[in-house]
Amino acid sequence: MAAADERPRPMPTDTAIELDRAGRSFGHTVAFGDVSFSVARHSFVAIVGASGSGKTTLLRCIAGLERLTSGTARALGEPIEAPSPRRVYVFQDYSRSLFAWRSVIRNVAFPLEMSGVTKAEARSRAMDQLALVGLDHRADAFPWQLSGGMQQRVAIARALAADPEILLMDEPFGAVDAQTRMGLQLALLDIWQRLHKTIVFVTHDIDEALFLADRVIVLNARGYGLVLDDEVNLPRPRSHSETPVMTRYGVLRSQVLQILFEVPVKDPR
Amino acid sequence: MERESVTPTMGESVQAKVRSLPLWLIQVAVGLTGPAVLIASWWYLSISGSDVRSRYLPSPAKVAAVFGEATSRGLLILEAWSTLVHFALGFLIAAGVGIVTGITLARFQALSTALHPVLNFLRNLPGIAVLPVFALILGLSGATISGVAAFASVWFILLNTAAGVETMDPVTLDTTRVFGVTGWRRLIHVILPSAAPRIATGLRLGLGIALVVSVSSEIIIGRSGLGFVIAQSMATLRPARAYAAIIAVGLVAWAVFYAGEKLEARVVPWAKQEARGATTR
Repeated sequence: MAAADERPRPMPTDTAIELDRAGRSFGHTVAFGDVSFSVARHSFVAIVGASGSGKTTLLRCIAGLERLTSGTARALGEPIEAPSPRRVYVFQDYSRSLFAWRSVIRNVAFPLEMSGVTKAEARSRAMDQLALVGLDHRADAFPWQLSGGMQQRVAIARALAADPEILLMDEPFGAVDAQTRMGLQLALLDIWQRLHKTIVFVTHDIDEALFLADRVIVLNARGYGLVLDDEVNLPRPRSHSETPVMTRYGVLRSQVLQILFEVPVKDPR
Repeated sequence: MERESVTPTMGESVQAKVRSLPLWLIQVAVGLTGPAVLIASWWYLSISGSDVRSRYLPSPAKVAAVFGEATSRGLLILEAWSTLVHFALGFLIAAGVGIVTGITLARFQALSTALHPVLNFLRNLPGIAVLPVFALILGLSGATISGVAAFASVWFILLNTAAGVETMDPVTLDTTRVFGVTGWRRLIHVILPSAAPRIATGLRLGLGIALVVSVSSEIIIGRSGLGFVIAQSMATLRPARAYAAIIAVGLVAWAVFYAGEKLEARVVPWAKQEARGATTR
């Protein structure tokens, strides 16, 4: 990784996100600090860390939902100061993120309607996004009439409707059952490969990170810096029956596990 | 099966006939027993006692006759309409003022904190207590009745609206920020619909209070309306007429609540869902 430069410099267009010694504290409590990495455009990066390691806060800072208290963050060449429809955040809690008062299709059309597209046009474009996540047949249902996995698909379709460069996903599949989760992971990879978005994906699940990403970043549980930033290098397309039994997968997995659980435990006896 | 239950053959036993009756018919029959017992007891009490009792408890037949006659002559319908106008004007004023003020209050936290003790006091104050004040200002008029109804019900609408806006889900708000929606568009497309179930609760409470206060005010100062008919009939020793008006008030209230419920289910269909979600979450 390139050394930090004091002055902001023009970023090459193939960089989607660049963090330079970024940190965020709440009073005396440090969420994370001294975090530097950059994300190439169209790549899929997973951020892993124990709970409390500040990964959600980090993602919120990249979204512009929260401000850094130290260091700098840039997205697509510009400093991150506020949320932007070019960087759309997908929340873990889809049931609270989706609008209960709007039907599925109108949820997906929301960012389009808000950007001034006519209702008819918004509806037809939203329908395309729904078809992409395989839910065009439930367009007129309300979100709360759908299963959890379907609701998260709607939330993803809505994020895509804003046509962002970057998708920021905060444990999006953390609240669904294992089978549904596998289906969602495949659907997401399919969408990513078709639409060439940049995806930053926060998860506490190492297997999910390795299965999805080009690169895995592990945050230091004690709040400062990274403890791992490694290429995944597993062939695509990935499959749940083949990818996890590859040698490279096993090596990476034990490497990450060792890092996450390296905290020495004193034997009480 | 169903066809058989509609046209039972002659030879069937009574038990089989009962069993083959449609469920709704049985439910209606059971549901009618309550009113039947009530009316029978009323009837018994009205004829079994002294002459004194029949003066304040006329028989159901007499009340029904008066009700029928007053309705056919248009009197009860006219007075019911008058009550409905008194109530509706008061309620609509309360709804408009309550919702607008409630949103404003929720957006300015300092104002809300400053006014909260006052608002809580006013909410708990029985609204009918200010009737003389309104009568002094607006006279013994329909405006006074509507005004007191509005005064009594506005606090519930206002406080529930403010609470609905203040307790907005942070994830919903963050989602709105992510898509860059601010200002008026955020208010109309996100904050209002999100607070709508709570606003509906306030409106439901306000509806009941506005109705109670309208009829009470009519009894006390009214020159028209069903409350006025009740008071006047009792004062002129025509209890059957008063009972007919009481039944009419009940019917008006039932119609108002029924319409409110239907409207709520249509306008905020997600409210019921959220109430259910709240218990499981």
